[in-house]
Amino acid sequence: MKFKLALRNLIHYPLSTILSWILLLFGVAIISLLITLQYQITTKFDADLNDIDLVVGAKGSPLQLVLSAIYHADAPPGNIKESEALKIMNDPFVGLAIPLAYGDSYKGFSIIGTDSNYLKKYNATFAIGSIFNKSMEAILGSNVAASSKLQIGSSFFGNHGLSENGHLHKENIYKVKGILNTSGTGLDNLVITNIATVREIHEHHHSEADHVHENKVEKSHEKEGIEPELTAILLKFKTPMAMLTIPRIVNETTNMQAVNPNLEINRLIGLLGIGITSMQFIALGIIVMAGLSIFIALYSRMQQREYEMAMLRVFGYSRWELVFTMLFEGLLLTFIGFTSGWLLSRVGIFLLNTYSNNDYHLNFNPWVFIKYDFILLFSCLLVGILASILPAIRIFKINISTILSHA
Amino acid sequence: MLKTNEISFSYNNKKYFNYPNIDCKDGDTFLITGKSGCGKTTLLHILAGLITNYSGVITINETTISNFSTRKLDQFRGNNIGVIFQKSHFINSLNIYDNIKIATKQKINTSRIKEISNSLSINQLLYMLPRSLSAGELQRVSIVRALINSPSLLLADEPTSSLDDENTNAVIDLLKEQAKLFNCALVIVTHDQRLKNAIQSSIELI
Repeated sequence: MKFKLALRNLIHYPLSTILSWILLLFGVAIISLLITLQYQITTKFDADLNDIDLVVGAKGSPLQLVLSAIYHADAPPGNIKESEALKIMNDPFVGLAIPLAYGDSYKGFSIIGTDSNYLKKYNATFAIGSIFNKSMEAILGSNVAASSKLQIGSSFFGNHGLSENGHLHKENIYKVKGILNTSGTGLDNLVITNIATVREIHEHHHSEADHVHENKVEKSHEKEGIEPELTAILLKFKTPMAMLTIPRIVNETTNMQAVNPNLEINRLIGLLGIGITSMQFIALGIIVMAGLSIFIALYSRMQQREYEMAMLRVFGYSRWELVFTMLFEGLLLTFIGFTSGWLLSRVGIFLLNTYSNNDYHLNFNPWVFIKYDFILLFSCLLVGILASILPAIRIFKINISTILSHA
Repeated sequence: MLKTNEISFSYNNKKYFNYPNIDCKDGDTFLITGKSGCGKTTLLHILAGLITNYSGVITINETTISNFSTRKLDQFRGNNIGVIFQKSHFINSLNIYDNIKIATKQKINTSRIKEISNSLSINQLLYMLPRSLSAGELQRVSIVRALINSPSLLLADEPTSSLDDENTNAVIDLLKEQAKLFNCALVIVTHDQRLKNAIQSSIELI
């Protein structure tokens, strides 16, 4: 009955209830959306990074190199000579070295030439099929397979460059050899083939037509003396000590640059974080205002409420029971506000997905309740308690006789 | 059954009230009259356990409540005392049925509320909000509300002050009848001289 009273009181004063609810709704929705996106972006970045210690590629912007080599979110800054790369890859300190050669694309998904170590780095498993063992065989990431509907043994053409309607390389037909399980990493959006395939296609193409190739791996038979190239290499060291020596060797003795991807990504997330943090402060302000409006709503009805509470005391309710009724009203409102705000943020993530999935192959999972959501829930309930604690104290101290005789 | 002994009370040590003893058996009606400001409502609040810093002894149904703690007093009041206030006040956000239901902490079923409501003919008002009822209807609802716990002491504060002669008699008859029916002691506090003729045992405060 006491809970019904709290609920009826909220419904009986719709305007102040709606004001408090809307403030809570938007405050919670904004904060929950931001923390979920930040959390999922950070985990996604970490999953793709997956303890790669060093990225080596062409000189240029370090961030561009990391974004292109690890996240496939940018064009590579250029190519590197295979002979130079091999020197670093064969260094005794290097535990794992993954060569990458960027090729064409298929329906907007990048085709990457690499070796089996790349799959090992992601702990990738095959849903069906197996790894390539000769040129022109390809493995599809789960998203690629799902959106292209290609099967084992199907064949497809690559597009030149990354755009979906680029020039088709019709002479070179890829054959699907395997399809990977979903990994939740960038691998899901890639077509993997061997390095020879990437070279072959561009060598073939080069001899046929005069084409401007940007940042593509090429090997020309016609121009003797031009060495085979790679786009980048990913390195994992046997010992942390190598982190001190190898970057220096690369940067000082070769025509390549070595970049610590952790450093670059932390800097990027740090910059992103400033924006997110300031947005969170604004949303926090909205929630505090919600608390204030709940307090004002409860306190402005105190005069009348005191009489109602005094009567409940006459009916045998104890002081504590009345205090709990009062607190419950504030808590009920904040809980409803939190729940609806949280749901609104999930709708926001869902809408964002349809947009980001097309443009960035980024997919956020809306149905996760991370620990920050719990913190947010408890902060909201705390706001509810703080807002109703003063009215509750006043209720606790009422003098029934005085209130009833002056009504 | 209600018995009081040597009750006195002072407001901030300025105003002193000394009350005559009251003895009212179950089913009987006791009238307390007096002019405004002579401490009638104060006495009623003392009897109901709403004022605690008085001296003297109150015994209801063989239980002395004079030195009960606040919590025990709340509990005792809820189970044993029904109060009808001068102005009928209700919880505005609840309908009449819920207003009656919230007045009891005992588990009672719907049929009991309907039964009492029937006998005071407010059964057709149960699902309306308090503000849509007339003063007379609210008066009857507050009687139902005071009786819902089957109290052993029923206290009424100026139940007839805003009624004409005809309705005054009707309300007093109703209260006396219910006190008989529920076998509880009924104490009415009023300045209304008309009630003196209807009730035998009475005291006048000066």
